[in-house]
Amino acid sequence: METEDSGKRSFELRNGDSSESLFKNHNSVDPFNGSGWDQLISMNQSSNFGDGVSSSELLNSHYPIMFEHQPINVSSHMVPKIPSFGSGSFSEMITSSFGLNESALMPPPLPSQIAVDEPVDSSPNAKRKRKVSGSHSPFNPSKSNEGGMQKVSSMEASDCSKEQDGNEKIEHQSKRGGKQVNTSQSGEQPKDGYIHVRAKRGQATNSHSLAERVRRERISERMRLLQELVPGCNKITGKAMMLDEIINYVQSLQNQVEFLSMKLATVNPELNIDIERLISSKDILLSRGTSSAGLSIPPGLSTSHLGPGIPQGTFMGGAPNLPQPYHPLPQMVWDGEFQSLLQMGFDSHSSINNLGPNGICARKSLNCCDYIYLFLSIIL
Amino acid sequence: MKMDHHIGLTSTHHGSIKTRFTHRFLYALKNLNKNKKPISYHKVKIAAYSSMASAVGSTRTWSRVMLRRIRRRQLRRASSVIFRRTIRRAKCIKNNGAKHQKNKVVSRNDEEDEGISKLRELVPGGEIMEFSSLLDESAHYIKCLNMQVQIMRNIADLLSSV
Repeated sequence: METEDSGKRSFELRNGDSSESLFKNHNSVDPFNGSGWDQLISMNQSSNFGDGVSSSELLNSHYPIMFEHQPINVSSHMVPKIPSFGSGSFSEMITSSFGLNESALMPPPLPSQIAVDEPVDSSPNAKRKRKVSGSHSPFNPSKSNEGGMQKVSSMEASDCSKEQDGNEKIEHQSKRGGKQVNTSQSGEQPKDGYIHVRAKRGQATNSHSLAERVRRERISERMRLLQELVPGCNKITGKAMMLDEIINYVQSLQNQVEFLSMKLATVNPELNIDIERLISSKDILLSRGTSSAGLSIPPGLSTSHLGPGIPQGTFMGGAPNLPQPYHPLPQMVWDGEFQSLLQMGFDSHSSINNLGPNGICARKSLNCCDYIYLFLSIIL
Repeated sequence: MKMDHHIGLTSTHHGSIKTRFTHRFLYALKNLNKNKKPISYHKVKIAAYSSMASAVGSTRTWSRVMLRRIRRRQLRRASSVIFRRTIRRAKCIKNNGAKHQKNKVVSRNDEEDEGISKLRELVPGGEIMEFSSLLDESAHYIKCLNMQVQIMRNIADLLSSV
């Protein structure tokens, strides 16, 4: 294959030996030439890239991306969609030419590789690796142009925002389909942690620019998150201003912490006893909570009271057993508070509650109640 | 610090970050109050930060860095030998951070650069982070700071009202 050889050459020039196999695979994409869309795109491409750019190169640059980098998660969805891919030739191509080369495609990605994924589809939390498509840059003077081939690749690669009517739409669909095709192809061995990026029309498909786009999107997403967190940041546009606002906010919070710790330091010594009592009650709670198995359970109470996750009903049942003076609040208030506590996942309260009915001495249960109140007032 | 012991004790206690922080911070306050001397606010602050970081756990970069800093500070006080060692290590980290930063910030305008470097200073461990993860961490850090401020204010109100 002439194209393959040339591709190899160019590849070697750029990257080195490691990804040669990948490159070959990309070249196998050639069957695309047969598809009908090509004309317009080829025109387009020629205008954009000049004579030097070869279609094969473009293919090399884009297709590896499409095919290889498929997040595992998506694969299930993707497979059924395969038929939706625009041209029949594509699927054929995949099965025929790619099937052989899969082993070559599959080998663990080089660290330098850029994974291209469509930001919409990629889950933000997923690990992101980058796959190298960098080796296949659309601009290689050594390539000869083959008229028919460019379609998808040229579309992606072309920076022009020219409108192409029917063909373009088809192409987009095909691109969407392309993803699924990838999965089907990579279904052999789904790859982990790749981002699937698809360039929209008129965007550069250079590996670097793709990676940069992914990065930018991630950053803007997090900026939005931060914007929500920082009050008064919603109206501000512009990264620098937003950063300023965020910084001010963090600084003010840190100052507040400083101020509050000063306040606590001055307040503390006088109220030593209170804290002592507060915490001694908590000590009791914690020690009892951990060694709750050792507690004797009154016959009236079910063992479920000792467990960390007490259902609310049992909790309510236990509450009335508390000595009367120690829950001055009406029962309804208790209910509400305890419910909220339970919802907050505050498990130590269960042990607190157990302590009351369990008839540890009155003073301790007093401490417990105090502690509950204190803690509630602190936390809520 | 004795506080660490208690933190170890309470680490089995699972709850929201809020409850964990409150537990730890109250323990720390109690320990600070043990020797009936007036406490320096600095100690309270350290206690607050370390209890927040340990409540968050080691899943976040900022909390890890914060804990490491606090521990290093304690060690520094404990022995001069370790002090020297840690200083050296700290220098290494600093240098790495500087390099990283240089690489990262290539083409941004000056205002943004300034803002970003400031943010890096503010968020613990931010010097060695990539920008997007810096934003992530700072978001979490802001949340935690909010929570911390709220709870500390509640405690202060409560104590001063009694």
